Amino acid sequence: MSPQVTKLERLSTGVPGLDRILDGGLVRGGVHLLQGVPGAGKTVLSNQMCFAHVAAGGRALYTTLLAETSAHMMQHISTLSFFDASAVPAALSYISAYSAMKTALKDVVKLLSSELRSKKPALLIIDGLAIANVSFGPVEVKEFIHELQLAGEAYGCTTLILSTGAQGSYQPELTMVDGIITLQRTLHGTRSLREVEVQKMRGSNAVFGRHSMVITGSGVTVYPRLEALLGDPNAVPAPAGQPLGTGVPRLDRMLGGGLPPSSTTMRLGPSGSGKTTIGLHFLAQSTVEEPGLLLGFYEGPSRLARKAKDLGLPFQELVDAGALTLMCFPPTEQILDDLGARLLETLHKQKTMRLFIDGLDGFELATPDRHRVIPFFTALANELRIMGVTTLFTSETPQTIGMKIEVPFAGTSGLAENIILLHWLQSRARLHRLLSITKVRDSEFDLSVHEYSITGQGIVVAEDSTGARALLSGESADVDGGGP
Amino acid sequence: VTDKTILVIDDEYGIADLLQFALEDANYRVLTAPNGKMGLAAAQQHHPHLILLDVMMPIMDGPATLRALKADETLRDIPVVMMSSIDEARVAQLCQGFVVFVRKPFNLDALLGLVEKTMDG
Repeated sequence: MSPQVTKLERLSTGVPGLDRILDGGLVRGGVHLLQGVPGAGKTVLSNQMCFAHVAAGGRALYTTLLAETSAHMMQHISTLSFFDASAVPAALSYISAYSAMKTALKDVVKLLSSELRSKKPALLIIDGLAIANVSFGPVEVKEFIHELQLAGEAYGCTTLILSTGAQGSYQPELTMVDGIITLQRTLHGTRSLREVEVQKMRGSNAVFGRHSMVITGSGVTVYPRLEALLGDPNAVPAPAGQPLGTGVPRLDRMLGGGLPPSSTTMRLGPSGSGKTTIGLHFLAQSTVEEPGLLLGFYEGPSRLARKAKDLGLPFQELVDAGALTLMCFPPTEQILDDLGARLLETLHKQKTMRLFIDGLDGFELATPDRHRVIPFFTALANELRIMGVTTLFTSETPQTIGMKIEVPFAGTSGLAENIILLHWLQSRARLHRLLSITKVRDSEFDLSVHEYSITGQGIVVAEDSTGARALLSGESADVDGGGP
Repeated sequence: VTDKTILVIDDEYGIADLLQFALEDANYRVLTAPNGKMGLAAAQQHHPHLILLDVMMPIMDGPATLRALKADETLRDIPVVMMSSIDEARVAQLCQGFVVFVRKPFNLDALLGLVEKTMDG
């Protein structure tokens, strides 16, 4: 018989994404430290927690030691959508404990105990611990935290202490608190990015490490690292069902019937080789029963719909019928995990069966950490398999002409079950497009190289490999006039 | 220095000090207290000519202090100016119709004008 494990009760922070990485929220009745340099977002985050808590029917108390005045703080906070003037002061009060602190930290606890008893808040914020670290010794600060823990337990109040931290020096409070959350703001080139890191959270399966965070007019939103949460390969069900047509009949035959259901296919090729066009064919097979979704980074929905129309593909009609959704995120200033979350949310909502991602590099541009792209996409691909989505994504190769293919990211080929290679080949002052398949999950496939062209009716793949063979053996004179 | 005494009841560091400096500059005698309980004791002891009273404070908040002042027949006629970062209507509601109010963060000249006007009656 396994021992019974008690899960510590949690207090929801009410901050989108934050509870997810905290394993449900702050430890109820515990004392937590929220640290970060000035401008990192501590004040916004802690106020947002207070207003979320009172909006849920609770009471909160915001106490400052030596921090900005509550009037100044409220002027700033009142510009954010979570601010509710009617909650102050009945459900949320702002007080200063600095006068008490001028004598002893013990007097702050005495004052707070009195406030906890009379106001009965379930959430207490103490802003400005740095001043206590300067004014008092480590033993007094530890005693202060200990007494806060006792008071919190006694009155059922969860405490969050705000501090600027002290890099490189000893912080006595770190050893005492139940949880430590650190906010960071770092510059990557010219771009400033915010991150939140759970460094300590007692008795929980918190998602440690750094996660992206943004502050908008709605306050803070945290984007948990997708690869830390999703895509458990053990949860991927055994493949079942019929192959999905690509919309290019000859390609389907080369694939052994089409794309295996719930699989991930990579189209790798140079610029202009028709990677997007093949994806448009794939999505043109979408139906209301089997909806499709296009995620693009460079071409907007109207441009894609026009491109499809020029190929004779009825995108606008499919969009109007609710069989197809076009999403486009410009590749600038995006947050990788926000992209992943929004994509998954739309897929769930639309019950998408066919997904075409036009450009893996759109994900790369959304993170300053290039090493995250493959783990991120591996987790995303697994999640898509779990959801039963058949995915096609393109990746551009750096070389433009020739049969040699260079994978842009190490490990890319491992995350796709099916790989279709597209090439440009030059022969006798003319460029030719060639297509080959190197991998198809659980299926026999055509190993020969085929020439293909892009016409007013879309992609046309040569019935046999005669032309490609002639090109590759140097006998291309016949091919120049006899392409598909 | 005039013979007029003003009691400032505010918990926030800097605000009571700032008001004290400004009011002393305007020749008032100034007393300060960091919460309503201590403010009430100071009022009972010194009978100030005017009280500047913050709304949100520990131990005893502004509305509770105002009620205690009005319940004490020796203090109920002392004019009180409420100060807060929350809006006037909300303060009026909390203070059961009390309307002499200054919004934080305040302009000192405007506050001094209000003090003078309130004290004059």
